[in-house]
Amino acid sequence: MSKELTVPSTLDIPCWTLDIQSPPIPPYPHTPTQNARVRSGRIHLVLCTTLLACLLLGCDESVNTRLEIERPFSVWGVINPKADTHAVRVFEIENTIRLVRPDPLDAVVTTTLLQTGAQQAWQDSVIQLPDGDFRHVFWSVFEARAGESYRLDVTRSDGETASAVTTIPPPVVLEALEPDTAIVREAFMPVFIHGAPPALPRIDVEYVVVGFRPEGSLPIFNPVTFSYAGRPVQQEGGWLLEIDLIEDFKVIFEVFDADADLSSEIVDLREINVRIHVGDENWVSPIGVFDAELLVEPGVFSNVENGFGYFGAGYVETIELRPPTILLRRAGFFTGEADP
Amino acid sequence: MPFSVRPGKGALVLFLIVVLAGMQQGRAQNAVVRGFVTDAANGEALQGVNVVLENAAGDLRGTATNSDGIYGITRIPPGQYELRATFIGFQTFVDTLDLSANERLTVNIALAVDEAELDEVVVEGEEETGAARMTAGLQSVSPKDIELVPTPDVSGDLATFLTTLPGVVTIGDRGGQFFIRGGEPTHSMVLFDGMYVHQPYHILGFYSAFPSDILRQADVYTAGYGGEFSGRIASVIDIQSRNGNKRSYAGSVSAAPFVSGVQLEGPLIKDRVSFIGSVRQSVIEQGAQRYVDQDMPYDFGDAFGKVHAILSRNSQLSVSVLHTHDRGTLGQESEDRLLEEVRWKNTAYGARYVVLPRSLPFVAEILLSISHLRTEQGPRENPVRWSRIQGFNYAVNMTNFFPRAEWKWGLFWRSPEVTSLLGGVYQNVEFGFSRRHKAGVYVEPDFYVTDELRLRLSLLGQLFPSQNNARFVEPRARLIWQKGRHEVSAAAGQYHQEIFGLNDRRDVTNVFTAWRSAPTDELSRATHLLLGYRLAPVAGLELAAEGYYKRLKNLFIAEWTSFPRFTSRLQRADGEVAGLDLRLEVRRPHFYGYINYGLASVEYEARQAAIELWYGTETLKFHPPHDRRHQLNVLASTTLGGFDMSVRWNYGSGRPFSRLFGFDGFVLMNGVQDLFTVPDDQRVIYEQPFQGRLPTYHRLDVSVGRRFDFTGYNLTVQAGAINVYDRRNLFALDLFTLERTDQLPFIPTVGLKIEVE
Repeated sequence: MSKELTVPSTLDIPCWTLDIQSPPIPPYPHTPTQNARVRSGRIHLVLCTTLLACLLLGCDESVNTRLEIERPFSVWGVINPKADTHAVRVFEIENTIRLVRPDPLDAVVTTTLLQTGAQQAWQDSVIQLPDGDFRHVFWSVFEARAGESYRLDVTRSDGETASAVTTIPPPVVLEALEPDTAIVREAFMPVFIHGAPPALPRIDVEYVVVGFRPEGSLPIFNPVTFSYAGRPVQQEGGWLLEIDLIEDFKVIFEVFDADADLSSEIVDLREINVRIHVGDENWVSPIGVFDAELLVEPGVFSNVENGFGYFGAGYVETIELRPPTILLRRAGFFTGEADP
Repeated sequence: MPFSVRPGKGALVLFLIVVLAGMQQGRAQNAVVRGFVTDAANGEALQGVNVVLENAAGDLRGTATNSDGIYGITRIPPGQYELRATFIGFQTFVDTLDLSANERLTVNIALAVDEAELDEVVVEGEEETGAARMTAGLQSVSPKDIELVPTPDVSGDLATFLTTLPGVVTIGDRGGQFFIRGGEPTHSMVLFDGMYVHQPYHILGFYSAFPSDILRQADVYTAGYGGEFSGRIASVIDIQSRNGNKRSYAGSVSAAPFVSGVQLEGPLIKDRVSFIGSVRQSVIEQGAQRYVDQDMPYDFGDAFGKVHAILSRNSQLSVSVLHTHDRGTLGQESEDRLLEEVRWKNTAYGARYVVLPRSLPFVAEILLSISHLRTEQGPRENPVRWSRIQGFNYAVNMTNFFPRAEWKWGLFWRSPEVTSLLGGVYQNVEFGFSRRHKAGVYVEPDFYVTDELRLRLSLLGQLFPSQNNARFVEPRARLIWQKGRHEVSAAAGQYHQEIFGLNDRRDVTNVFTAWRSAPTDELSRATHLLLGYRLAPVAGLELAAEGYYKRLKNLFIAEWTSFPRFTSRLQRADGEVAGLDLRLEVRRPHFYGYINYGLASVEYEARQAAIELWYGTETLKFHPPHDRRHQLNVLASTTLGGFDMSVRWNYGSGRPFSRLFGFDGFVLMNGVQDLFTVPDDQRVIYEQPFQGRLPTYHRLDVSVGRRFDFTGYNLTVQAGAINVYDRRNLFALDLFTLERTDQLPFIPTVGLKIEVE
């Protein structure tokens, strides 16, 4: 039985061309000298193959930086039952970080009212942000009611769809309660949120304070806003929010004290505006707070299937109030009245 | 809260026992003979000269000179001796000494070149250094080793040589970033004549501040270094310059497509005071860029000057100055990508006084240096960010010689001052300033336990008065056993670092380094372990293998964020580095070559608070961008028909990088937003960090040179080529725009050098 060992004389590979000259190998059986030559040939073959493998492994000059992603869009939007126009900002998941162009977006946006199956088409619009960037905002006009569930579909021409479902939260009623003034070292102004809001993602308490220049001036209005997100306590029939006038005054005083144009002698409170954002049941940060540095990671705060972002339902309820003078004075605000 | 690292009680007791045993050796000293050994032709110090005393009975006492050419022989009973100094390539020095009790005799020796042995020197004289001469993490490098590596210049440069070492990873042929055995560039200490040089590598990776023309020797400690060095946790490169010719003037002028330079040396006072100076300036725009289809906006250069004086038979003083400058833009600009220029400047001044006190049996070295580095990014007139590190270094190093031991001990005081103005792009840091005073003391006995076994122990204590008196004790040890053809070496040690450099490793072109002080009292620290074996099976062939392991703690690396920006928010990370270096070196009369292979793994474990939220684990393990798993260097050099030819092939497996899925926008939905007006941010959708691997790197460089001797001068002509087969090696890839920047393409080079003496 004879066996012939052959080696191609020229191997063309993408970036190398090698000429390998192999001595002719006589057929079996071999003399000892011939066996040695065969062994030598095999060793050369192994060495050449190993070398070629190394070279081939190192020949690829390209680099694949992009991973396949099937998710076509990122969607950020809200259905607001207190508004007649609703909007979602839509981003294509793109290959480069180039600025969004004002060209039409390959997307069809619809909502479906799940209770009835009624479908609503949304219209594209291009806005330009103050920094010059363009964005695609889809909008639609309809009236949404509490308890209704909507599915948003953002569909590309190839059929890839990002979708999200949200339910309109029930209404709440805000009421400023009579504060308890019995404890002299405290000054809490209670606000009761009547109803069953699924989530309260944001609560802003804005103090509209009035100051004056050190040398005297007309009143200067200065709004100072505090975040009270996560502070309400659930009670029967709703949630109780207690505004801590003493702690907030310390901050306001520091603001006045640090501002050379304002006298810190007189810090007068004109009113407090409480703005409560009521959200759907998914509008809850996984870390308790809405910290952009943490939530920016895609998917960490998202309810969009086959995409990223958040599509929710919510509204803002507000109440204006002015705490009793005794609390204001206790906190440190100027009341124009002498201490008792 | 300050903390201290204390070695175990057992280790301390053991250390004291060994120390006391060593002191026992040194008691009842009799006469002492010591001095400097120099090359008679030019006054340069000679290292490794064997100096032996022999009495009439044939009893021998001997030692070898150190890098300053200093030797010392102690505990010599009174009597008559023959003093011999031998060194390959030089005539043997012989003198007869009559030593009386307690005599401290200084004998300075000037060895003359042995013309008859000159040919052998080419082969044999290199044996103090060489590719396989790695012992317990230390490789000594001579200018000759450097010049064997093909470069686009007629003279060699230490930077090019370093890239041939296994375990040394670079990000490419520009940027000036060297990662040594797992350490970041800022974890590596570079000392030049005792001066700290914080960013010594030029923006074009072939070059550093250290051309081979001015070097005497460089000791590269890739791990396991002794107590003399403190403040860096990965490696030390201790470089000594030549002193300059004390007999005659010499100089050279070189011109090449990348760099041209002038070097001059000579006596200021013959046989007493000499100078050496070197100036190099890049000429890329006038040279290489003309025949490369690529923008090469690099400008760099260096200037070095040194005056060395023999003050007396017992003392020498040198004063050195170094200045470097670098400027350039890495990567390729495009419509969507405006690259910012990076610049850095090093300036260092140093004085070094070496004395052999007449009445005391030791060598004293006193160092004083001031170093300054400023790095900038952005427009020259108004940089976006800059960082500066400056400080002084006072150090006193003593060496006591004993019959079978050398004791080194010393004191130091350093004060690195770090200032950073980082601009608004950095998240939570805009301006930072800190000054860290550090005082320390070390003792390092080096025992020749037997003829085969050498053991060096170190104990280093550091005190940070400005950091709540934080204290650190760092034990270190080094062991070498050598018998016949075999050498086994091992080393271990603990290391701390109080300042660190912050880079954004997500973008490889971002070589801007922001120096910062460690934000807490917990400094970065490392533990090194290594074990090596070296074999010389036949003359002219050496094999070496060295395995190493480093445990790194409290590293500070940039936090990850999906916002497309640099961040200086820090996260803690620990690291583990493990590797194996294999070296094979061949020396034949007309051939020299080596193969170096490095296998390495670098793994970090990050502890950013958000990791659990993002990835579901408390910490995240990943391989950082300098985790080059395989590295191979092949060098062959020969002389044919009067031409010196060198060829070098370099291979490196792909380094990790972070892949991404794409880009979108991010709206912080912290409430009901008006989507028509709310601002948003662009966002990067990354995979988990550093899961991808870049393509492999390989390149072939060749050079052919010939020296023509004329009366009074000689001319060297060198031709060569970089990247002979024009491999498209990736230097940088902007993940955001997919703009790719490759390393240097095929570049033919021709260089000329005229040397005058």
